[in-house]
Amino acid sequence: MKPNTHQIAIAGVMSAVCVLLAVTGLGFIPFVAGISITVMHVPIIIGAIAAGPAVGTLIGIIFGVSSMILASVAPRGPGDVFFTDPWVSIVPRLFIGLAAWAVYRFTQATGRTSTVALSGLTLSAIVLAVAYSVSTAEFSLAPLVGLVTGALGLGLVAMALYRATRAHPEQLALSLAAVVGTLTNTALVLTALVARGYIPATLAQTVGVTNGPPEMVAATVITVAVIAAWRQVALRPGGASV
Amino acid sequence: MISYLTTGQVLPTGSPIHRLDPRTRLLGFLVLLIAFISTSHVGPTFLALMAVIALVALARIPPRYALKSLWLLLPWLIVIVLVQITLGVGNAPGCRSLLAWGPLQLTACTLRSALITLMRFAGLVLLIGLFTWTSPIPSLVRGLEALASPLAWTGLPAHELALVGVIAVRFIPTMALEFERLQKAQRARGADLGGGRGGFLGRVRNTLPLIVPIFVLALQRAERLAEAMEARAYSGGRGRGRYARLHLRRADWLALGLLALFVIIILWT
Amino acid sequence: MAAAKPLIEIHDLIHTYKGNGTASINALQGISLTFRPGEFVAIVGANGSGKTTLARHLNALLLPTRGQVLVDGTDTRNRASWPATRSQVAMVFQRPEDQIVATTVEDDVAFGPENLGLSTSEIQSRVRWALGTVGMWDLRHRPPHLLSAGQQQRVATAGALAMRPRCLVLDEATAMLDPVGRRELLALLRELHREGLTILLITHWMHEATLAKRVVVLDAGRVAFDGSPRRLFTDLDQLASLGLEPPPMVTLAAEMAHRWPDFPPDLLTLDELAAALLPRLPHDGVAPAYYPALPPTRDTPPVVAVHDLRHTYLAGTPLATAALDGVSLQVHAGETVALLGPTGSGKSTLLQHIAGLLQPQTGQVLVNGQDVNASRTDQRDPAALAQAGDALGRRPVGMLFQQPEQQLFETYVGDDVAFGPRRLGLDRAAVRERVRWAMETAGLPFDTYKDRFTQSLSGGEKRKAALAGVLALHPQVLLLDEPTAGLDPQSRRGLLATLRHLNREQGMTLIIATHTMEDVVALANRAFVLDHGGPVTQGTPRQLFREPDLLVAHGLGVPEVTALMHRLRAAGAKLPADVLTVTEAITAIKGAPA
Repeated sequence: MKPNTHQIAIAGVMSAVCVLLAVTGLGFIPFVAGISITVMHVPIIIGAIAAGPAVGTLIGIIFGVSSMILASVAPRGPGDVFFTDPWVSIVPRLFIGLAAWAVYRFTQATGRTSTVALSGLTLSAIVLAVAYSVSTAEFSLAPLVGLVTGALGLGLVAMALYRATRAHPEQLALSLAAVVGTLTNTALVLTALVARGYIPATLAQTVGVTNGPPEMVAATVITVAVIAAWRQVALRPGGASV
Repeated sequence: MISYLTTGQVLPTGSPIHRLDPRTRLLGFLVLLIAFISTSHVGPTFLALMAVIALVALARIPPRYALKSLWLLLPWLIVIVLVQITLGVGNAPGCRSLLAWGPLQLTACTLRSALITLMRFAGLVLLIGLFTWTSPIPSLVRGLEALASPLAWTGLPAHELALVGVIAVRFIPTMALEFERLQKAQRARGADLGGGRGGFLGRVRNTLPLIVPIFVLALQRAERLAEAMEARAYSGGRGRGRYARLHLRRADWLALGLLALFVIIILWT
Repeated sequence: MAAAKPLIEIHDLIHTYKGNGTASINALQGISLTFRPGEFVAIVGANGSGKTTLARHLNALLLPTRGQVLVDGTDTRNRASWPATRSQVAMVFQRPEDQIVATTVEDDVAFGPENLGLSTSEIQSRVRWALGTVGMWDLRHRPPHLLSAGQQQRVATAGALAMRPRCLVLDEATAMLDPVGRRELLALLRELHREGLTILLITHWMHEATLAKRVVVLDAGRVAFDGSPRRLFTDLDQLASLGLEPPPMVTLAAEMAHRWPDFPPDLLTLDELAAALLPRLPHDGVAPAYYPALPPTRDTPPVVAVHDLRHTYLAGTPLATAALDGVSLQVHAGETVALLGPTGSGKSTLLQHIAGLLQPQTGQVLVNGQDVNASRTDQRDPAALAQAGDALGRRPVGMLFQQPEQQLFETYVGDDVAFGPRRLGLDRAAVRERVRWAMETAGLPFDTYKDRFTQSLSGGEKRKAALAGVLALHPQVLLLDEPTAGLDPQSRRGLLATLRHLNREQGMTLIIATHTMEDVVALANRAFVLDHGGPVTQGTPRQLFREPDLLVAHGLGVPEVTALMHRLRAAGAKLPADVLTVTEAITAIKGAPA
């Protein structure tokens, strides 16, 4: 699928934004206990939503290559060295744009109920994955803790979905696309790290569970803020809150 | 960091590597990259590492630079290797045990695994570093565009990808300068960028005064850029002329020959 | 000369598009124009008149909703002929940065010819010729981010010239340039026109329109005037009805006709005016005194004081540049002080020091007697501390940066203006009050604009919104970095009026970095001239304008009216040298004994 001039331009500038977020440190948001989550993949999501899956993939390639180069030339932490391997830095990023775009298109094409249903499925899957990881061996906690976490999590999901049914449809669509896009990034990168034998599966699970959800939240906040400002979407019916 | 972005990373030592055709350098880089990531035997990895070290020396890179990036990563690498040994990565039944010291169970297999990991990453870091030290951006861009033509035959949008890369590289320094100004402007308005208050969600929201304008500015820029490109008759990558003529010289053929030899040896071992 | 075949023909062009929401907007409502080879046409009109839309029809970037555009006889709807059309009609856009695609100057100029599929040798010869014509061949290896705006615009022009066009369309190409850059570009255009290139200059500067041989005025999507600039500008009533401002020379000339009934009508340029006035003015007698200079007698301590400030960027690296080299100045409460200097003189750096955003290597910056950098306990956010306000939440120093419309990030205007006050921790009612005051003062009525989408505002409106955001912090001292750069005349007038109101009626101290001399006249009590980071001279505007050569030597200029006075004085007329406005000039000339 040949990208047109407009798509090439967007892909180019969004790739530049990815690199900018990385080198200025803006793309790292401190989470807890010295761990930072990253939002450098958000330009891929926004590019895909704005201009299609081809654009998302192009941005993914450039972002992957740049993260490979930065890992070698300006590493920030222990995990960075693994990103010198293109299987880890480039290949997973090829799919983020496609996933985000597909979800976004789906929500445009179907009604609110289907979107909410999809959101529910996605979020429940995430919650159950977290609950499962919490309850298995490496945390050495009883399965009961896992059950409790799962129940709490599903409760939160239900609440979120209830709010989602009353939210602006665009916000729902963007949030879901951001969540799925981030999920793709996290899942595929961790899979690559395990498949290449760099980290054990248990560690991958831990990292996924601790970093994944906050990254999804951050990506959602940013994606919604950017698209709302850019496309002038009236997320709040009354206008400014001043 | 901003100054690094605006001035680049090339070390112009005028070595034979620098004087090669950018396509040759690109191909060499790709071949070695693939060598490092696709083998899981000690022999080929070692060979690839030696090749990279030889190239770094040939490129007359001051040891200070070459070692700097390795030096940064070395502690992490050692930690990783130790963790891998502890976790028994690469272990299989029947591996001869070499050392048993508390949690550290060193077997021949895990040692082999650790060695490969060390060599692979040291090699990758040096290789990528070498590439950035010897490739000025304009020549890299020309090399990419030149290589894009044969690739485009396979149906991949290679020209378009090359142009996307060019645009990205072109705008990174510009955006870095704009980012600095934006940061000062928002700070002057009282923005608490990246400050610790408000919990995680608060921290995310604190980045918005910087992140949203960067994105909006970029999207607006893309529209204007597309207009400017079309005004100069851009209509896709096919049939485009080329400003710079690239020539393969004797040194390039020699390099390509060595590369082919390298590939054969790697495949054989 | 026999009528040459028209280059561009526009027949009943109508262009409609969907705005935000469902309303259709008629950008162009039936335009018919013809452009012939060798013409130099200026296309003017207020914001929203359709000039930009019209421009984009000339090279098939936009296609007509109804009607027809023919370029060299070919309809622009004919997709296959677009490459040919775009080689014949080349365009230079408003923002220099956003036209340059490649990583070096020469690669970018080659972009166009490459798109045309020309041979390598042809491309190389065109690049060489184009860069040579604009005077940028020596900088061909340079990356674009290391060029000034004026240089970038010349590169963009070279890129257009490399298409070997018959016609060059410039869409407000001088809007983002400083006076030097603008002068150079216009000189280039005159040169290109002399060599036979058709020039279509879209601009909102009346002065540029006087350079053309033909002016087309657009008003609400229709052609309101099409004729010679002389005919347009000397008919003051017509100008007023079109919402355009007459150039200062024209206003002056019109008044001269009252003084001397036989004064030649239809004068347009400074040269013409000087030539007509000289014989009518006294060459002997007592030269009238200069306007009395008012030495500022201040015994109150200054609100801003800078002592021997030095600042070097990237100190200790091979790229170190001295931005400020021993600058001292004092500003008293209620003053408006202008910082004048060419690009790179250190004005922005100085402002950032006063705002507490930069730390000096040597020297001191005091605001209200307190060292801006001394109370720095939290190294992570020095600006916040330097900005620490008093109990009322008033911060001493507020700053409006260049192109401040880029800092708007909220979806709604009201929220963005409220950002500062909210961060101060004020309660909801207080925030609302501040936002209301700030927006009204800046010229954006609160109730109308607070719920508007930020991105739906025009450039001038966005700048006002950014100003409101800074005003909402109730600064005592307001720093402005080139506040009128890139604005259309109407927005500029509005902003200057706002600033004058803030200073004269609200007592806000203003420090304005600018290179637009007309801004200085409108606002400043005093001005400092900087160049290469060091002080050059200072004084009231009148004092400075007595030495135009010094100003020109440092990349500045004087208002046209002042330049006229100097020209007449140099030829022997006895007139005051430090005239600032057209009104003063009229008075001076009329008052001169016959």
